[in-house]
Amino acid sequence: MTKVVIDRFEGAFAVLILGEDNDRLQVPRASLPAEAKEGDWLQVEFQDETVISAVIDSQEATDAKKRIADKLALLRSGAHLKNKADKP
Amino acid sequence: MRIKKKHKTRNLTFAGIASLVVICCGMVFSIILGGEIVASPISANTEIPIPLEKIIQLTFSAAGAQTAAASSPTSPPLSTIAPTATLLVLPNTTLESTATLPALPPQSDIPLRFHFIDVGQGDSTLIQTPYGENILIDGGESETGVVQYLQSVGVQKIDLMVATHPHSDHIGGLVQVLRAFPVAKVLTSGEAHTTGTYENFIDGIASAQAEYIEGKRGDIIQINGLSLLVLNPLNNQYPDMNENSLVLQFTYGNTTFLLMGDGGADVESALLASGVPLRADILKVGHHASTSGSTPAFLGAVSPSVALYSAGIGNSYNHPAPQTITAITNAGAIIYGTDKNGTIILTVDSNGYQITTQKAGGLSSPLSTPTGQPVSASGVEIASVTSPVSPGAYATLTANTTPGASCSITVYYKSGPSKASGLEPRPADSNGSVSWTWKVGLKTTSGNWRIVVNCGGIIKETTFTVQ
Repeated sequence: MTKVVIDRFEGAFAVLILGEDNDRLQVPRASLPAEAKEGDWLQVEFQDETVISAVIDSQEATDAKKRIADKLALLRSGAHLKNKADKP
Repeated sequence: MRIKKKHKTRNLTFAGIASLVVICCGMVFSIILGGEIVASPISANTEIPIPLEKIIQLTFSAAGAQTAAASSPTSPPLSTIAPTATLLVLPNTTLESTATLPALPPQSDIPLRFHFIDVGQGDSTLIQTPYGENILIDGGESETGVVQYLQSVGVQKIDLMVATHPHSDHIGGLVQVLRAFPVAKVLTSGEAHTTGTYENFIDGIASAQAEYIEGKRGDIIQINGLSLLVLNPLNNQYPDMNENSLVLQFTYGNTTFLLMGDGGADVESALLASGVPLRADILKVGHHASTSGSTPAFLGAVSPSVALYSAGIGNSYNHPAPQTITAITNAGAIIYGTDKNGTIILTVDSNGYQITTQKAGGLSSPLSTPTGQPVSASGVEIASVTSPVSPGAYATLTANTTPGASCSITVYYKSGPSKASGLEPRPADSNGSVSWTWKVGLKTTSGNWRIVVNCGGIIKETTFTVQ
């Protein structure tokens, strides 16, 4: 099984980003669960680049959402700029 | 505070507000937030009365110190705010009264360069302002050459990076740009994604210590004389990230650009309903000219002279969609696409714009260079055109350009481009003169109609009257 996330849909295709190395792969939208939407994480079984099975992994999406929301909150607060004056 | 619009808001008004900030503060980045702006009809020499909801100014910091102070445009006076080592934020400021702003300063003759970069299946645009600032809007997929392109045109820093929305074909390349160049500020739609690409992007912003800003409709991002007006998103209300794209509009000289990101029909109808002036000379077509947008009502409101789309050669997504190309052509625009033309560069000054393309040969464009090496031109002027003219009579247009330059003409009637004989492309003669004579059909609708002349990639427009 491979962890993937749906970056977007383009017509009849879904563009997947593969979890570990951020490789991209496009697959027929119909090969994914009908309720899958942008940003969903999936556990996918591939044969080459063909989807054999795909199951939505809501825990993975929840984790990613939380982790990213925290990072975004820091960006919005400007906390990442605090040390800027120290840089040469 | 919500202020009802009393009159249609005009581009000039937005530009006027932002210009004030720049005039007073020198090297200043400012955002004017709160789209509810009341604008009275204005003329060039009158002062502009505009109540604002709130203003946020961000001045660049030399030493990185940050202070925040609440204020209004009258307290402290903008003229006393020096371009010091201060990040000045004026949050939640409510201005109850009418601010009086000076009229617009004259536009500079220094050209602005707009690079619509060929990054394959993805979007990337570089704007080089007359004062040397670089604005990068999207960066294509990762490893599709945006860093190399920026280096090739001498970019050494990015003053403003814009991510229209978090899909990988727009932000993937931005991750590399954040690593390769100093980036001062990053503007986004505020919508997050759950992909590794997006996470790398926000990690990159943090590592680069770039200031992070989110734009909403009505915001103005001012960069030293150039005002980017945000038309979308409103509140990221759509389930499709494309429809929450940042949509930006700006004017330089008398040329107006409208950049749709990946916005489609939802954004288009929202913009039409908002009453925001949409007319633009140059339209960056939404979503790679797919079928998701470019509705006739929207194209009619924008009425672009030139439409630009990005798409990768042989992409799987049917980008651009033939019916969308037809719709844009019917709206009277000349179309350039990165799949057919490669990188497309517009050089804009107060006289208009010139278009140069990496590869000759446009798409369904009557003005594209047919084959072979085009003869470039240093300029083109329309010397004369028959006007008014009656249906059934002949009209003649004469233009002056570089001797031997390849020229073409398109006459746009209500129904679209004229196919009359006599309007074929031809080279300018040894004196640089080129002319076309054609018959105005008996059934031609009366009105003022556009004529576009293109000599070696330089475009001039005029109109003529059919009685």
